[in-house]
Amino acid sequence: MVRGRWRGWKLWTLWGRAITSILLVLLLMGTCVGLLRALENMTSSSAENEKLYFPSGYFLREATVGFRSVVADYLWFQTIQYYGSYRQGEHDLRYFQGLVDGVVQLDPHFIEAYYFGSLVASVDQQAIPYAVDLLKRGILANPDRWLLPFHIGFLYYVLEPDYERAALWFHLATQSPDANDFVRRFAAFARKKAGNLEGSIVLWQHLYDTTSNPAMKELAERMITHCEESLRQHESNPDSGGL
Amino acid sequence: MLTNGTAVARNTFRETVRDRIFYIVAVFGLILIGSSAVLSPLTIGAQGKIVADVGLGAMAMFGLLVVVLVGSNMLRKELDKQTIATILTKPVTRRQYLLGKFCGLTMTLLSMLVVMSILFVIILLICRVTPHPRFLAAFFLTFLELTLINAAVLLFSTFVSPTLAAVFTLCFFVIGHLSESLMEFGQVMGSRLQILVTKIIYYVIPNLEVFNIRSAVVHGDPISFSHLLLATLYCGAYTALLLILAGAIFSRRELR
Repeated sequence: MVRGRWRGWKLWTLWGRAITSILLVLLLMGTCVGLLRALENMTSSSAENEKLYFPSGYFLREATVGFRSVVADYLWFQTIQYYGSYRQGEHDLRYFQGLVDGVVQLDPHFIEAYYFGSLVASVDQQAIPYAVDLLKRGILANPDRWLLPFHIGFLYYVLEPDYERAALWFHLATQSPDANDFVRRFAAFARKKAGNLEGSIVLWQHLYDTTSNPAMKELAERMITHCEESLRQHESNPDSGGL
Repeated sequence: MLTNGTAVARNTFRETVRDRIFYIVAVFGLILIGSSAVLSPLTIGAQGKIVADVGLGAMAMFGLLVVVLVGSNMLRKELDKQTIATILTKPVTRRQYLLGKFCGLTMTLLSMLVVMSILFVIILLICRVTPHPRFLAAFFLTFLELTLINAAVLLFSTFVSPTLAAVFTLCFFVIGHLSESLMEFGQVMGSRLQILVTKIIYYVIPNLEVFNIRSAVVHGDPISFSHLLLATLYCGAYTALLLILAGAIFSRRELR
Protein backbone atom coordinates (compact mmCIF):
# COMPACT_ATOMS: atom_id res chain seq x y z
CA MET A 1 0.00 0.00 0.00
CA VAL A 2 2.80 2.37 1.01
CA ARG A 3 4.84 1.22 -1.93
CA GLY A 4 1.88 1.85 -4.25
CA ARG A 5 1.38 5.34 -2.84
CA TRP A 6 5.13 6.04 -3.19
CA ARG A 7 5.05 4.90 -6.80
CA GLY A 8 2.05 7.16 -7.45
CA TRP A 9 3.81 10.11 -5.83
CA LYS A 10 6.94 9.44 -7.86
CA LEU A 11 4.91 9.28 -11.08
CA TRP A 12 3.12 12.50 -10.13
CA THR A 13 6.39 14.30 -9.46
CA LEU A 14 7.76 13.03 -12.77
CA TRP A 15 4.67 14.25 -14.65
CA GLY A 16 4.61 17.42 -12.60
CA ARG A 17 8.19 18.17 -13.46
CA ALA A 18 7.63 17.47 -17.13
CA ILE A 19 4.52 19.68 -17.24
CA THR A 20 6.25 22.46 -15.29
CA SER A 21 9.22 22.30 -17.67
CA ILE A 22 6.97 22.45 -20.73
CA LEU A 23 5.03 25.37 -19.27
CA LEU A 24 8.26 27.14 -18.41
CA VAL A 25 9.61 26.61 -21.94
CA LEU A 26 6.35 27.91 -23.45
CA LEU A 27 6.35 30.90 -21.12
CA LEU A 28 9.95 31.77 -21.97
CA MET A 29 9.28 31.25 -25.66
CA GLY A 30 6.28 33.57 -25.46
CA THR A 31 8.36 36.16 -23.61
CA CYS A 32 11.06 35.97 -26.30
CA VAL A 33 8.51 36.37 -29.10
CA GLY A 34 6.91 39.33 -27.29
CA LEU A 35 10.26 41.02 -26.69
CA LEU A 36 11.36 40.43 -30.27
CA ARG A 37 8.15 41.97 -31.60
CA ALA A 38 8.63 44.97 -29.34
CA LEU A 39 12.21 45.31 -30.58
CA GLU A 40 11.07 44.97 -34.20
CA ASN A 41 8.60 47.80 -33.71
CA MET A 42 11.36 49.91 -32.26
CA THR A 43 13.86 49.20 -35.02
CA SER A 44 11.52 49.28 -38.02
CA SER A 45 11.54 53.07 -38.03
CA SER A 46 15.31 53.19 -38.17
CA ALA A 47 15.77 50.19 -40.50
CA GLU A 48 16.18 52.44 -43.51
CA ASN A 49 18.88 54.48 -41.81
CA GLU A 50 20.93 51.31 -41.32
CA LYS A 51 21.99 51.67 -44.93
CA LEU A 52 23.64 54.95 -43.99
CA TYR A 53 26.21 53.03 -41.96
CA PHE A 54 26.86 50.45 -44.62
CA PRO A 55 30.63 50.33 -45.24
CA SER A 56 31.89 51.35 -48.66
CA GLY A 57 32.71 48.74 -51.27
CA TYR A 58 36.39 49.75 -51.16
CA PHE A 59 36.55 48.93 -47.45
CA LEU A 60 34.62 45.71 -47.95
CA ARG A 61 36.99 44.65 -50.75
CA GLU A 62 39.83 44.55 -48.24
CA ALA A 63 37.78 43.28 -45.31
CA THR A 64 36.22 40.30 -47.08
CA VAL A 65 39.47 38.45 -47.71
CA GLY A 66 38.91 35.77 -50.33
CA PHE A 67 35.12 35.89 -50.13
CA ARG A 68 34.34 39.08 -52.05
CA SER A 69 31.85 37.51 -54.45
CA VAL A 70 29.82 35.99 -51.63
CA VAL A 71 29.65 39.36 -49.83
CA ALA A 72 28.72 41.04 -53.13
CA ASP A 73 25.85 38.55 -53.43
CA TYR A 74 24.72 39.38 -49.90
CA LEU A 75 24.83 43.10 -50.71
CA TRP A 76 22.85 42.35 -53.88
CA PHE A 77 20.08 40.77 -51.76
CA GLN A 78 20.06 43.89 -49.62
CA THR A 79 19.79 46.05 -52.74
CA ILE A 80 16.88 44.04 -54.12
CA GLN A 81 15.09 44.12 -50.77
CA TYR A 82 15.74 47.84 -50.46
CA TYR A 83 14.21 48.39 -53.89
CA GLY A 84 11.26 46.16 -52.93
CA SER A 85 10.59 48.27 -49.83
CA TYR A 86 10.78 51.42 -51.99
CA ARG A 87 8.10 49.97 -54.26
CA GLN A 88 5.98 49.48 -51.16
CA GLY A 89 6.39 53.17 -50.39
CA GLU A 90 8.64 52.83 -47.35
CA HIS A 91 11.36 55.27 -48.46
CA ASP A 92 12.70 57.34 -51.35
CA LEU A 93 15.64 55.12 -52.46
CA ARG A 94 18.21 57.57 -51.11
CA TYR A 95 20.81 54.86 -50.33
CA PHE A 96 20.23 52.82 -53.47
CA GLN A 97 23.23 54.17 -55.35
CA GLY A 98 25.55 53.47 -52.41
CA LEU A 99 24.37 49.87 -52.28
CA VAL A 100 24.82 49.35 -56.03
CA ASP A 101 28.28 50.94 -55.87
CA GLY A 102 29.18 48.53 -53.08
CA VAL A 103 28.07 45.53 -55.13
CA VAL A 104 30.06 46.49 -58.22
CA GLN A 105 33.13 47.49 -56.23
CA LEU A 106 33.14 44.05 -54.65
CA ASP A 107 32.36 42.22 -57.87
CA PRO A 108 33.15 44.35 -60.94
CA HIS A 109 31.87 41.59 -63.24
CA PHE A 110 28.35 41.55 -61.79
CA ILE A 111 26.57 42.61 -65.02
CA GLU A 112 23.07 42.30 -63.51
CA ALA A 113 23.97 44.89 -60.87
CA TYR A 114 25.08 47.47 -63.47
CA TYR A 115 22.02 46.76 -65.57
CA PHE A 116 19.41 46.85 -62.82
CA GLY A 117 21.16 49.63 -60.89
CA SER A 118 21.33 51.95 -63.89
CA LEU A 119 17.72 51.26 -64.84
CA VAL A 120 16.38 52.02 -61.37
CA ALA A 121 18.62 55.09 -61.00
CA SER A 122 17.48 56.50 -64.34
CA VAL A 123 13.76 55.67 -64.18
CA ASP A 124 12.91 55.88 -60.48
CA GLN A 125 15.47 58.51 -59.42
CA GLN A 126 15.87 60.37 -62.73
CA ALA A 127 19.62 60.17 -62.08
CA ILE A 128 20.69 59.57 -65.68
CA PRO A 129 24.27 60.91 -65.23
CA TYR A 130 24.80 58.43 -62.38
CA ALA A 131 23.28 55.60 -64.43
CA VAL A 132 25.56 56.36 -67.38
CA ASP A 133 28.58 56.64 -65.08
CA LEU A 134 27.74 53.27 -63.50
CA LEU A 135 27.44 51.63 -66.91
CA LYS A 136 30.71 53.19 -68.04
CA ARG A 137 32.42 51.69 -64.99
CA GLY A 138 30.87 48.40 -66.01
CA ILE A 139 32.27 48.72 -69.54
CA LEU A 140 35.76 49.38 -68.15
CA ALA A 141 35.58 46.16 -66.12
CA ASN A 142 33.76 44.14 -68.81
CA PRO A 143 34.76 45.52 -72.21
CA ASP A 144 33.45 42.48 -74.09
CA ARG A 145 29.79 42.69 -73.05
CA TRP A 146 27.36 44.30 -75.51
CA LEU A 147 24.66 44.81 -72.88
CA LEU A 148 26.41 47.70 -71.09
CA PRO A 149 27.09 50.06 -74.06
CA PHE A 150 23.72 49.08 -75.49
CA HIS A 151 22.06 50.06 -72.26
CA ILE A 152 23.76 53.48 -72.29
CA GLY A 153 22.33 53.92 -75.80
CA PHE A 154 18.98 52.78 -74.44
CA LEU A 155 19.04 55.44 -71.70
CA TYR A 156 20.00 58.17 -74.17
CA TYR A 157 17.32 57.00 -76.59
CA VAL A 158 14.32 56.59 -74.32
CA LEU A 159 14.98 58.85 -71.35
CA GLU A 160 17.33 61.70 -72.21
CA PRO A 161 16.53 61.73 -75.28
CA ASP A 162 19.76 62.29 -77.22
CA TYR A 163 19.50 60.21 -80.40
CA GLU A 164 22.93 61.03 -81.74
CA ARG A 165 24.65 59.78 -78.62
CA ALA A 166 22.29 56.84 -78.45
CA ALA A 167 23.20 55.80 -82.00
CA LEU A 168 26.88 56.08 -81.09
CA TRP A 169 26.52 53.75 -78.09
CA PHE A 170 24.35 51.30 -80.04
CA HIS A 171 27.06 51.20 -82.67
CA LEU A 172 29.65 50.57 -79.96
CA ALA A 173 27.53 47.69 -78.66
CA THR A 174 27.58 46.05 -82.12
CA GLN A 175 31.38 45.93 -81.88
CA SER A 176 31.27 43.61 -78.85
CA PRO A 177 32.08 40.00 -79.63
CA ASP A 178 28.87 38.77 -77.97
CA ALA A 179 26.53 41.23 -79.76
CA ASN A 180 23.43 39.50 -81.13
CA ASP A 181 21.17 40.21 -84.11
CA PHE A 182 18.81 42.41 -82.14
CA VAL A 183 21.65 44.79 -81.26
CA ARG A 184 22.73 45.11 -84.90
CA ARG A 185 19.17 45.54 -86.12
CA PHE A 186 18.38 48.15 -83.51
CA ALA A 187 21.59 50.09 -84.11
CA ALA A 188 20.66 50.37 -87.79
CA PHE A 189 17.07 51.29 -86.91
CA ALA A 190 18.19 53.98 -84.45
CA ARG A 191 20.41 55.55 -87.09
CA LYS A 192 17.55 55.77 -89.58
CA LYS A 193 14.57 56.57 -87.38
CA ALA A 194 15.96 58.49 -84.44
CA GLY A 195 13.39 60.03 -82.17
CA ASN A 196 10.52 57.82 -83.01
CA LEU A 197 8.37 56.48 -80.21
CA GLU A 198 8.04 53.03 -81.74
CA GLY A 199 11.78 52.69 -81.23
CA SER A 200 11.38 53.27 -77.49
CA ILE A 201 8.57 50.72 -77.33
CA VAL A 202 10.72 48.15 -79.18
CA LEU A 203 13.54 48.71 -76.68
CA TRP A 204 11.32 48.42 -73.60
CA GLN A 205 9.58 45.39 -75.13
CA HIS A 206 12.96 43.74 -75.74
CA LEU A 207 13.93 44.38 -72.11
CA TYR A 208 10.57 42.98 -70.98
CA ASP A 209 10.99 39.83 -73.09
CA THR A 210 14.59 39.10 -72.17
CA THR A 211 14.81 39.82 -68.45
CA SER A 212 14.06 37.24 -65.78
CA ASN A 213 14.08 39.97 -63.14
CA PRO A 214 10.45 40.62 -62.04
CA ALA A 215 11.26 44.16 -60.86
CA MET A 216 12.72 45.01 -64.27
CA LYS A 217 9.79 43.37 -66.02
CA GLU A 218 7.39 45.50 -64.02
CA LEU A 219 9.39 48.63 -64.78
CA ALA A 220 9.48 47.85 -68.51
CA GLU A 221 5.72 47.21 -68.51
CA ARG A 222 5.17 50.60 -66.87
CA MET A 223 7.31 52.34 -69.48
CA ILE A 224 5.63 50.54 -72.40
CA THR A 225 2.23 51.75 -71.17
CA HIS A 226 3.65 55.25 -70.79
CA CYS A 227 5.13 55.23 -74.32
CA GLU A 228 1.91 53.87 -75.82
CA GLU A 229 -0.09 56.63 -74.14
CA SER A 230 2.35 59.25 -75.43
CA LEU A 231 2.10 57.70 -78.89
CA ARG A 232 -1.69 57.86 -78.81
CA GLN A 233 -1.57 61.49 -77.67
CA HIS A 234 0.98 62.28 -80.36
CA GLU A 235 -1.19 60.68 -83.04
CA SER A 236 -4.30 62.58 -81.91
CA ASN A 237 -2.33 65.85 -81.59
CA PRO A 238 0.88 65.77 -83.69
CA ASP A 239 2.01 69.20 -82.39
CA SER A 240 2.25 67.99 -78.79
CA GLY A 241 5.91 66.83 -79.14
CA GLY A 242 7.62 63.47 -78.56
CA LEU A 243 8.12 61.35 -75.50
CA MET B 1 61.82 5.56 -45.01
CA LEU B 2 58.90 6.45 -47.25
CA THR B 3 56.86 3.55 -45.85
CA ASN B 4 57.24 4.88 -42.33
CA GLY B 5 56.00 8.31 -43.34
CA THR B 6 53.16 6.71 -45.32
CA ALA B 7 52.05 4.76 -42.28
CA VAL B 8 51.84 7.99 -40.24
CA ALA B 9 49.95 9.67 -43.10
CA ARG B 10 47.47 6.82 -43.41
CA ASN B 11 46.93 6.80 -39.70
CA THR B 12 46.43 10.57 -39.59
CA PHE B 13 43.92 10.33 -42.44
CA ARG B 14 41.94 7.63 -40.58
CA GLU B 15 42.11 9.61 -37.37
CA THR B 16 40.93 12.88 -38.94
CA VAL B 17 38.10 11.13 -40.75
CA ARG B 18 37.00 9.67 -37.44
CA ASP B 19 37.34 13.18 -36.00
CA ARG B 20 33.77 13.92 -37.17
CA ILE B 21 35.24 15.71 -40.15
CA PHE B 22 32.67 14.37 -42.53
CA TYR B 23 29.93 15.87 -40.39
CA ILE B 24 31.28 19.20 -41.56
CA VAL B 25 30.89 18.05 -45.13
CA ALA B 26 27.30 17.10 -44.36
CA VAL B 27 26.71 20.55 -42.85
CA PHE B 28 28.27 22.07 -45.95
CA GLY B 29 25.91 20.11 -48.17
CA LEU B 30 22.88 21.08 -46.13
CA ILE B 31 23.83 24.75 -46.10
CA LEU B 32 24.44 24.71 -49.81
CA ILE B 33 21.23 22.90 -50.65
CA GLY B 34 19.30 25.04 -48.19
CA SER B 35 20.80 28.30 -49.40
CA SER B 36 20.20 27.59 -53.07
CA ALA B 37 16.61 26.52 -52.38
CA VAL B 38 15.89 29.49 -50.10
CA LEU B 39 17.82 32.11 -52.02
CA SER B 40 16.66 31.25 -55.53
CA PRO B 41 13.44 33.34 -55.39
CA LEU B 42 15.44 36.32 -54.06
CA THR B 43 18.30 36.16 -56.52
CA ILE B 44 16.47 37.79 -59.37
CA GLY B 45 18.41 37.51 -62.56
CA ALA B 46 21.54 36.08 -60.96
CA GLN B 47 20.54 32.72 -59.50
CA GLY B 48 23.28 30.72 -61.22
CA LYS B 49 25.97 33.19 -60.21
CA ILE B 50 24.90 33.28 -56.59
CA VAL B 51 24.57 29.50 -56.23
CA ALA B 52 28.06 29.10 -57.73
CA ASP B 53 29.53 31.88 -55.57
CA VAL B 54 28.04 30.50 -52.36
CA GLY B 55 29.12 26.96 -53.26
CA LEU B 56 32.73 27.81 -54.07
CA GLY B 57 32.99 30.21 -51.15
CA ALA B 58 31.60 27.61 -48.76
CA MET B 59 34.12 25.04 -50.01
CA ALA B 60 37.01 27.35 -49.22
CA MET B 61 35.48 28.41 -45.89
CA PHE B 62 34.77 24.87 -44.66
CA GLY B 63 38.16 23.69 -45.88
CA LEU B 64 39.81 26.50 -43.91
CA LEU B 65 37.79 25.56 -40.82
CA VAL B 66 38.89 21.93 -41.08
CA VAL B 67 42.55 22.88 -41.51
CA VAL B 68 42.47 25.28 -38.59
CA LEU B 69 40.45 23.15 -36.18
CA VAL B 70 42.01 19.78 -36.95
CA GLY B 71 45.51 20.91 -37.93
CA SER B 72 46.10 23.06 -34.87
CA ASN B 73 45.25 20.17 -32.51
CA MET B 74 46.98 17.38 -34.40
CA LEU B 75 50.38 17.55 -32.71
CA ARG B 76 49.15 18.60 -29.27
CA LYS B 77 46.82 15.61 -29.07
CA GLU B 78 49.66 13.14 -29.62
CA LEU B 79 51.93 15.02 -27.25
CA ASP B 80 49.27 14.98 -24.53
CA LYS B 81 48.53 11.30 -24.96
CA GLN B 82 52.23 10.55 -25.29
CA THR B 83 51.50 8.39 -28.37
CA ILE B 84 54.19 10.37 -30.14
CA ALA B 85 56.83 8.77 -27.92
CA THR B 86 55.67 5.30 -29.00
CA ILE B 87 55.71 6.31 -32.66
CA LEU B 88 59.17 7.83 -32.46
CA THR B 89 60.59 4.65 -30.92
CA LYS B 90 59.84 3.02 -34.32
CA PRO B 91 62.18 3.79 -37.22
CA VAL B 92 60.46 7.11 -37.93
CA THR B 93 62.36 10.38 -37.76
CA ARG B 94 60.65 13.51 -36.48
CA ARG B 95 60.69 15.04 -39.95
CA GLN B 96 59.07 11.91 -41.42
CA TYR B 97 56.49 12.01 -38.67
CA LEU B 98 55.68 15.65 -39.44
CA LEU B 99 55.54 14.98 -43.18
CA GLY B 100 53.23 12.04 -42.51
CA LYS B 101 50.94 14.28 -40.47
CA PHE B 102 50.92 16.85 -43.28
CA CYS B 103 50.17 14.26 -45.95
CA GLY B 104 47.42 12.69 -43.83
CA LEU B 105 45.57 15.97 -43.38
CA THR B 106 46.13 16.83 -47.04
CA MET B 107 44.50 13.49 -47.99
CA THR B 108 41.57 14.32 -45.74
CA LEU B 109 41.24 17.75 -47.35
CA LEU B 110 41.38 16.22 -50.80
CA SER B 111 38.67 13.67 -50.04
CA MET B 112 36.56 16.37 -48.41
CA LEU B 113 36.90 18.64 -51.44
CA VAL B 114 35.99 15.76 -53.77
CA VAL B 115 32.79 15.10 -51.80
CA MET B 116 32.01 18.84 -51.71
CA SER B 117 32.67 19.21 -55.43
CA ILE B 118 30.29 16.36 -56.26
CA LEU B 119 27.62 17.92 -54.05
CA PHE B 120 28.26 21.29 -55.64
CA VAL B 121 27.87 19.94 -59.18
CA ILE B 122 24.62 18.18 -58.18
CA ILE B 123 23.26 21.46 -56.79
CA LEU B 124 24.29 23.34 -59.93
CA LEU B 125 22.41 20.78 -61.99
CA ILE B 126 19.36 21.07 -59.73
CA CYS B 127 19.45 24.85 -60.22
CA ARG B 128 19.77 24.30 -63.99
CA VAL B 129 23.26 25.81 -64.17
CA THR B 130 25.59 24.02 -66.57
CA PRO B 131 28.76 23.09 -64.65
CA HIS B 132 31.62 24.27 -66.83
CA PRO B 133 35.00 22.43 -66.78
CA ARG B 134 36.46 25.73 -65.53
CA PHE B 135 35.01 24.86 -62.11
CA LEU B 136 37.63 22.08 -61.92
CA ALA B 137 40.31 24.78 -61.95
CA ALA B 138 38.60 26.52 -59.01
CA PHE B 139 38.40 23.22 -57.06
CA PHE B 140 42.06 22.54 -57.78
CA LEU B 141 43.30 25.97 -56.71
CA THR B 142 41.15 25.86 -53.56
CA PHE B 143 42.87 22.56 -52.76
CA LEU B 144 46.29 24.14 -53.31
CA GLU B 145 45.40 27.08 -51.05
CA LEU B 146 44.26 24.73 -48.32
CA THR B 147 47.42 22.64 -48.71
CA LEU B 148 49.54 25.73 -48.18
CA ILE B 149 47.50 26.72 -45.12
CA ASN B 150 47.86 23.16 -43.88
CA ALA B 151 51.64 23.51 -43.99
CA ALA B 152 51.36 26.81 -42.12
CA VAL B 153 49.20 25.38 -39.34
CA LEU B 154 51.65 22.51 -38.96
CA LEU B 155 54.52 24.97 -38.66
CA PHE B 156 52.70 27.02 -36.02
CA SER B 157 51.64 23.97 -34.04
CA THR B 158 55.28 22.91 -33.65
CA PHE B 159 56.05 25.83 -31.36
CA VAL B 160 52.83 27.31 -29.93
CA SER B 161 49.66 26.06 -28.25
CA PRO B 162 46.72 24.85 -30.42
CA THR B 163 44.73 28.04 -29.73
CA LEU B 164 47.61 30.27 -30.77
CA ALA B 165 48.32 28.06 -33.78
CA ALA B 166 44.69 28.47 -34.87
CA VAL B 167 44.85 32.24 -34.41
CA PHE B 168 48.18 32.50 -36.27
CA THR B 169 46.79 30.41 -39.12
CA LEU B 170 43.75 32.62 -39.47
CA CYS B 171 46.09 35.63 -39.51
CA PHE B 172 48.18 33.86 -42.15
CA PHE B 173 45.03 33.45 -44.24
CA VAL B 174 43.99 37.09 -43.86
CA ILE B 175 47.48 38.46 -44.55
CA GLY B 176 47.83 36.09 -47.49
CA HIS B 177 44.75 37.61 -49.07
CA LEU B 178 45.78 41.17 -48.32
CA SER B 179 49.39 41.03 -49.49
CA GLU B 180 48.59 42.60 -52.89
CA SER B 181 46.78 45.48 -51.19
CA LEU B 182 49.78 45.97 -48.93
CA MET B 183 52.07 46.44 -51.92
CA GLU B 184 49.58 48.81 -53.56
CA PHE B 185 49.44 50.74 -50.28
CA GLY B 186 53.24 51.04 -50.30
CA GLN B 187 53.17 52.38 -53.84
CA VAL B 188 50.52 54.93 -52.92
CA MET B 189 52.62 56.08 -49.93
CA GLY B 190 55.29 57.10 -52.41
CA SER B 191 58.67 57.09 -50.66
CA ARG B 192 61.30 54.72 -52.04
CA LEU B 193 61.93 53.10 -48.69
CA GLN B 194 58.25 52.40 -48.15
CA ILE B 195 57.91 50.92 -51.60
CA LEU B 196 60.95 48.72 -50.97
CA VAL B 197 59.76 47.58 -47.53
CA THR B 198 56.25 46.74 -48.72
CA LYS B 199 57.72 44.97 -51.75
CA ILE B 200 59.92 42.82 -49.51
CA ILE B 201 56.99 42.03 -47.22
CA TYR B 202 54.87 41.21 -50.25
CA TYR B 203 57.38 38.66 -51.54
CA VAL B 204 58.06 37.13 -48.11
CA ILE B 205 54.45 36.56 -47.04
CA PRO B 206 52.38 34.24 -49.20
CA ASN B 207 50.01 35.64 -51.80
CA LEU B 208 46.89 33.51 -51.42
CA GLU B 209 45.01 35.60 -53.97
CA VAL B 210 46.77 33.66 -56.74
CA PHE B 211 44.62 30.69 -55.73
CA ASN B 212 41.41 32.72 -55.67
CA ILE B 213 39.94 32.35 -59.15
CA ARG B 214 36.44 31.70 -57.87
CA SER B 215 34.97 34.96 -59.11
CA ALA B 216 36.66 34.61 -62.51
CA VAL B 217 35.33 31.06 -62.88
CA VAL B 218 31.78 32.09 -61.94
CA HIS B 219 31.82 34.93 -64.49
CA GLY B 220 33.23 32.69 -67.20
CA ASP B 221 36.58 34.48 -67.53
CA PRO B 222 39.28 32.37 -69.17
CA ILE B 223 41.80 30.70 -66.83
CA SER B 224 45.13 30.08 -68.50
CA PHE B 225 47.01 26.83 -68.11
CA SER B 226 50.17 28.79 -67.30
CA HIS B 227 48.38 30.40 -64.32
CA LEU B 228 47.45 26.95 -63.01
CA LEU B 229 50.97 25.67 -63.55
CA LEU B 230 52.67 28.63 -61.89
CA ALA B 231 50.22 28.57 -58.98
CA THR B 232 50.94 24.86 -58.49
CA LEU B 233 54.69 25.49 -58.48
CA TYR B 234 54.26 28.45 -56.10
CA CYS B 235 52.21 26.31 -53.73
CA GLY B 236 54.80 23.50 -53.93
CA ALA B 237 57.72 25.83 -53.22
CA TYR B 238 56.06 27.70 -50.36
CA THR B 239 54.72 24.50 -48.79
CA ALA B 240 58.18 22.93 -48.95
CA LEU B 241 59.65 26.02 -47.28
CA LEU B 242 57.11 25.92 -44.44
CA LEU B 243 57.58 22.17 -43.93
CA ILE B 244 61.37 22.51 -43.80
CA LEU B 245 61.00 25.22 -41.15
CA ALA B 246 58.49 23.11 -39.24
CA GLY B 247 60.83 20.11 -39.42
CA ALA B 248 63.78 22.16 -38.18
CA ILE B 249 61.80 23.46 -35.18
CA PHE B 250 60.17 20.14 -34.37
CA SER B 251 63.42 18.16 -34.50
CA ARG B 252 64.90 20.45 -31.84
CA ARG B 253 61.82 20.51 -29.67
CA GLU B 254 61.73 18.81 -26.31
CA LEU B 255 58.78 16.41 -26.29
CA ARG B 256 56.88 16.63 -23.03
